[in-house]
Amino acid sequence: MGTINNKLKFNLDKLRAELEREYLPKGEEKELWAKICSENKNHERRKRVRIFTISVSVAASVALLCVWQWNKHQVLPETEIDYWAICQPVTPEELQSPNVQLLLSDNQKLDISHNESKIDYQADGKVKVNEDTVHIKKEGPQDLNQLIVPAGRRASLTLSDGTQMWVNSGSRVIFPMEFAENKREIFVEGEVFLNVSHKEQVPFIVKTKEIDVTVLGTQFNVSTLESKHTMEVVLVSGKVEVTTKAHVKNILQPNELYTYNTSTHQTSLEKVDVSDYIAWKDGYYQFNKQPMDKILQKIARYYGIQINWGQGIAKLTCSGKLDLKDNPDDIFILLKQAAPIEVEKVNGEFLVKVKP
Amino acid sequence: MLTKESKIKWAEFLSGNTDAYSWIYETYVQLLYRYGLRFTQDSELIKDSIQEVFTYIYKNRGHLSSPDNVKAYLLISLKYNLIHSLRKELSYDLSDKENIPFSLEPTVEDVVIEKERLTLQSEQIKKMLSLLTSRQQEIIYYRYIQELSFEEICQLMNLNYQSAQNLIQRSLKKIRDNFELLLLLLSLSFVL
Repeated sequence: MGTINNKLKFNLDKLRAELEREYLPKGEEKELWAKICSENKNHERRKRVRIFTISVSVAASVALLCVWQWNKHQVLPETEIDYWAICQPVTPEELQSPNVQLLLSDNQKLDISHNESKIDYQADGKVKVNEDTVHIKKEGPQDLNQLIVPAGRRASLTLSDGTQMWVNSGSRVIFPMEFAENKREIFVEGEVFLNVSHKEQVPFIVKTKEIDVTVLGTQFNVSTLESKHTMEVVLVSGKVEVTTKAHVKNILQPNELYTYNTSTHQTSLEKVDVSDYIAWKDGYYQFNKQPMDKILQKIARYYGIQINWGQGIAKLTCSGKLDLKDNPDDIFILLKQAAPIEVEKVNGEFLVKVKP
Repeated sequence: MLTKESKIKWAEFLSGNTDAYSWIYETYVQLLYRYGLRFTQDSELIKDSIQEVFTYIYKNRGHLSSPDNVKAYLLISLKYNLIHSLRKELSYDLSDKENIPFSLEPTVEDVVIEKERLTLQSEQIKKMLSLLTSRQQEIIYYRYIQELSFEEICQLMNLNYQSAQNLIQRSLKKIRDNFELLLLLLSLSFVL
C-alpha cells in the first residue's frame, strides 16, 4: 500500500463525503426496483411458457388438462392487473414511432398518422378511427388495448361507456375494449383530460404508477410527468378521491390541484385556475405568471425536442396563450416577443438564454 | 462487517430467497448509482444499467458463483454494462482503456447552493483532481474511496498487479509533487 500523507488523506476523506452527497431519489429507487421485479416476473412467465410447450410435445392430453386448470386458477380470484407488465413488451421502436399507435389485444397494431387522432369505441363494439370504422378481432370483450401518443401528437378517445378522454403528447393509456359490469378501470402514464360518463353504481378508477384516482362522474386532468417527480390531478367538476400507493387518501373539490411528490411522498391541495391546466386539450397552453423554465419544460415535452436554458431563465415569468399547432420555431418567435430571451439552435437542440 | 453479511445474503439469494435479493438491491443501489455517475451524468442510462445487473443475476442465479466481495462483483458488472451502453452511444473504442471517461468530481445539482458552500477544501480537491488522468482518478477511487483490494482493482481495470501498483504510485506522486506548491500558493493568497 502506498504511503499517503495526512493532508492528502484529509482531502480524500472530504472528497468521499462530497461524493456521498449524490444520491438516487427514493422514489426513483423504488421505481427502478419495480421495473426489475416486473422484468424478472416476465422472464419467469416466458420460462413457464417454454416449459409448457415442451410438455405439449410429450403428452398432449396432460398439457390440455394443465391449461384448463391454470386458466381456472387465473380467472376465478379477481386479481390486480399488472399494468407495468403490459407496458414492458412494447419495443423502443414502437415508442419512437412518430405516429399515434393503437395496440390491440391480439398483436394487431394500428398506426395512425394524423396529428390529432380521434378514436371512438362505440357502445355496439365497433371502433372508429378518424371517422373510419376499423374491424377488430375480438377475443374477449375485456381485452386490454393500449394507446401510445408520441411527442408532437395528440389524440382523443371515447371509451365504450361514453367517457371522453384527451391524451396529450408523450402519454399512454391502457383500457379494456369494453368495461366490466361492476368496474371501470384504466391505466395512464403521461397526461390526460377525462370527462367521465356518470354511472352511480360503477366507479371509474384511473390507475397510475404512483396514485389511483377514483371518480363518480366528473371532469378532471391527470398528469404524471416523470421528469418533475410529481403527479398532478386537477378537478374541474364533480368529486374524485386520490389514493397513493401508501394508502394516503385525499378528496378533491372542484378547482383544486392535487400534487403528489414521488420522491418525498408528500401530497398537497391548492385552489387553482383550472383552465391553465386543461387548455392543452383545445390545442393551446395557457400560462398565468408561469416561470419560464416550467414553460420550456412543457414545450420540450410537447414537441419531443431538447431545450437547454441558462441561468436566470427560471426567474422570468410569462403570461398568455401559446398555440400548439405551430411548430417549435414559431413558438420561440412568440416567446421572444413576450420575454427578454435569446434562442439559439445548436445541433437540433435549442438553447435559451436571458438577453444580456 | 458488510462484506461478510453481503456474502451470507448472496448465498441465500442464490438458494432462492427473494428477501435476500431485495436486501442486496437496497444495500447497494445508491453506491452503484454514485459509481455510475463517475462515468456519465445520464442518470437514465445508469438506472438502465443497474436494472441490467440485477435482472442478470436473477435470471442466472442457478449458475452463479459466490464472489469474495459482493460489492466488487456488482461494481464490475455495472462498469461493463455501462461501458457497453456508453460505447454504443458515444462510439468510442472499449479496447482503448485510456479513453473511458471517469471523473471524481462530484456532480453539481444546485449551482447556487454549491457556490456558497464551496470551501477552500473543495478548491483543493478540484485542483488535485485536475492533475490526474481519468485512469488515475479511477484507481484512486477504487483504492481510497471504495477501499478495494489490489486484486479487485486489477479485475475492474483489466490490469495486472504490477501495472496497478505503478499506476497508483504514479498518481500519488503526481498529487504529492504538486501539492506542496499548491498549499504554498493558497497560503500566499491569504496573506495578500
